[in-house]
Amino acid sequence: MPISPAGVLKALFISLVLALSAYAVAKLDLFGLESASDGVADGVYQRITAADYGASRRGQKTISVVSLDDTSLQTMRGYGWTRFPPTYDQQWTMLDDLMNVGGAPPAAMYVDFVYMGEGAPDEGFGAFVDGVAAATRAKQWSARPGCVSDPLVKIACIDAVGGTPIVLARPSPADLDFFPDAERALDQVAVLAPALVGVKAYPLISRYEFDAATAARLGVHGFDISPAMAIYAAWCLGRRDACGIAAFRRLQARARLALQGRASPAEDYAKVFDAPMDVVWGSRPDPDYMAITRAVSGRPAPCRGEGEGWRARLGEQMVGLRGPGAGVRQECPYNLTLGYDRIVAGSGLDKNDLARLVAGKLVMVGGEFHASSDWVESPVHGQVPGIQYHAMALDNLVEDGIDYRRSASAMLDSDLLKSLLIGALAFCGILAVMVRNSLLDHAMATRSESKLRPTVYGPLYVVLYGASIGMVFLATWLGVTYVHRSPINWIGISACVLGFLFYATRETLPADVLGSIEHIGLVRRLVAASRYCRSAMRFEEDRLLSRPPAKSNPAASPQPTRPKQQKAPVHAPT
Amino acid sequence: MLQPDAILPTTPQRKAARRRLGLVLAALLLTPSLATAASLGTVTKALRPQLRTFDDKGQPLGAIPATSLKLPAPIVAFGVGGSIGVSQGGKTIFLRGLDVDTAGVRAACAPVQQVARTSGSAYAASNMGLGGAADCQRTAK
Repeated sequence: MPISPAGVLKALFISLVLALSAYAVAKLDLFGLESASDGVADGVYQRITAADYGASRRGQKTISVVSLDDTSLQTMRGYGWTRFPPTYDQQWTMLDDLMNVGGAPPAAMYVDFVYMGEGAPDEGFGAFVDGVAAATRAKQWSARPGCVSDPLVKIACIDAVGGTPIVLARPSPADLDFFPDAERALDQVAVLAPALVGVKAYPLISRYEFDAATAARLGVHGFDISPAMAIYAAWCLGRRDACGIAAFRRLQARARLALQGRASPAEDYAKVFDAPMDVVWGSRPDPDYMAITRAVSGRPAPCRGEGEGWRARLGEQMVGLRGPGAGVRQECPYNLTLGYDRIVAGSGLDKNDLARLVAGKLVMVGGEFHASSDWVESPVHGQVPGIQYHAMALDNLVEDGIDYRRSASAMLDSDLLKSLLIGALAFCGILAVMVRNSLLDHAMATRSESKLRPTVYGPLYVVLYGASIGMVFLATWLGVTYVHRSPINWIGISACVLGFLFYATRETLPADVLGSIEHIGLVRRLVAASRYCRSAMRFEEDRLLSRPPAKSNPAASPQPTRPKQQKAPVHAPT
Repeated sequence: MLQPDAILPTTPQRKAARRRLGLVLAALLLTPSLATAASLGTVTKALRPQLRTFDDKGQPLGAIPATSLKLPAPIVAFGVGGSIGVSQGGKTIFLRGLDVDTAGVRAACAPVQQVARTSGSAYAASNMGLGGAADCQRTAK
């Protein structure tokens, strides 16, 4: 059953045309369908595999979230918080509590509140700055130019002098054309990181195209790092192995030199953290979260609890079957989360709980206010507060290090990869159809056509379709697992490839499949019914092809060609 | 059928029985109030040298040295947000649970907030489950 070289070239040509078309469609992103489809494919993949994330629970054991929400503020009225936002003095009390309540300070702390002004004179901004300065031991590093030349070396200096790195949120300099005095004051004693509201791919290193004067005016020191990156760097720099990242080891040495007054240039950390992160969301809640929630509330956490495996999750994707918002409860937060008001009240908590929450941990402090805009869409959890997004991104870094999942949409050039995959699958599909036709020719020559149907054609189609789908899944899995990229648009590619295969085999597939089971009476009746349906659903084009030539103006109406070996039905001209 | 002596109130045996019954009744009447007082628990240890204090409305009253608190101190009330009320100098002051160790205090919370926004999510459910602790506030005893 040879396939001629011309046939192979033809298959190659058709598959290339298909791949180019797919590439053009992807690049045009008509109506945003391509990017929306990418997002859906990523989301579905994440939902199915969410239970497999973080088997070692390394991130969960390291990260805690302390939240303030509408209820917390109501509760905190009993402790002098009579307004929102609370005074700087009260906010420093909160941070001071978190520094001390566990018996040991956190390894690092991120505060997801933006401080734009100093407030009234009696609000304690000075106390707030002094408190942060004491926690970070700013006196020992803030006057060293080498320690403030970029945010990473600042963290390394804080760590080197034994302080607790405190990272405070700030608006992105790309969004805000001024640097408030309050932030400038805090920049002297802490690390500032853009709060990243509304981002889709989580950046780690952000560089701006500012000139030196603009950068100084906006408080940009070389580059910016995201909150998760800042806390991850603080965690790694506090470890002997520096998380196995050579750049962090060199950073430790650089900080030691900077503290001695010897500044050294920053290296390009974007080479290590070379792309934004596609944050992977886990679904198995921290057992400590479940236990502590029960302890402080007297009842189980009002969420899903233990996550099921991927098979159960696959079934849950069929919204039509389970109904929107029905059945399963929403996922619990992945990391240990506790309201600050519960820490202050202390009811149900013992020392071990508080130590588990903050001592030596990476503590993320943030708001979960309904009326705020700081909510993000998680494919696994639904809409979650921004602080949970930062915590999950940090968890990804703690779990996977520099092998974090890169966002394919922000990289060169995922569309090309998808198009090549479509082309390759189409090429294989066309070759398979050619093989089928060669087999048919051989069978007709040997009069064994009917014998081939059940033994060859059926399995051939199974292999053809199964291999195509399998290749898409394999490429998706390999890309995620070994190349550390967000999943390719496996739904779109599967649909495209299957559509093409159905089109390529539309004439032969029904006959071949039905031919192997046509001895069954029910099948025969179905075949007869399908013939009736086909004749009833003829397209207008069919009728035009079979229309007799017009008598009035033969020159204006060329002779239509009739398909060979087909009796043309007689139709009245319309 | 009862013997006539058994229902005469003047017999010595009956007087003793009535006395015992009275003691039992008195004990039964006193127990709930004692139990109520005990159920609030006690403050057993101060965790900081200075303790922030508040009134029953949550207004700050300043800080007191931990040594001025006689421990163990019975908890006499709970304030707004679960602050712990103890008697000090003839009046009730309220402390943060964070600053002291307690014994015999039980959490009793009812969900008051669903930390969720359900739009646009395939997993939109009746609640987000994010608060847990923050979803609760102390119920009236």
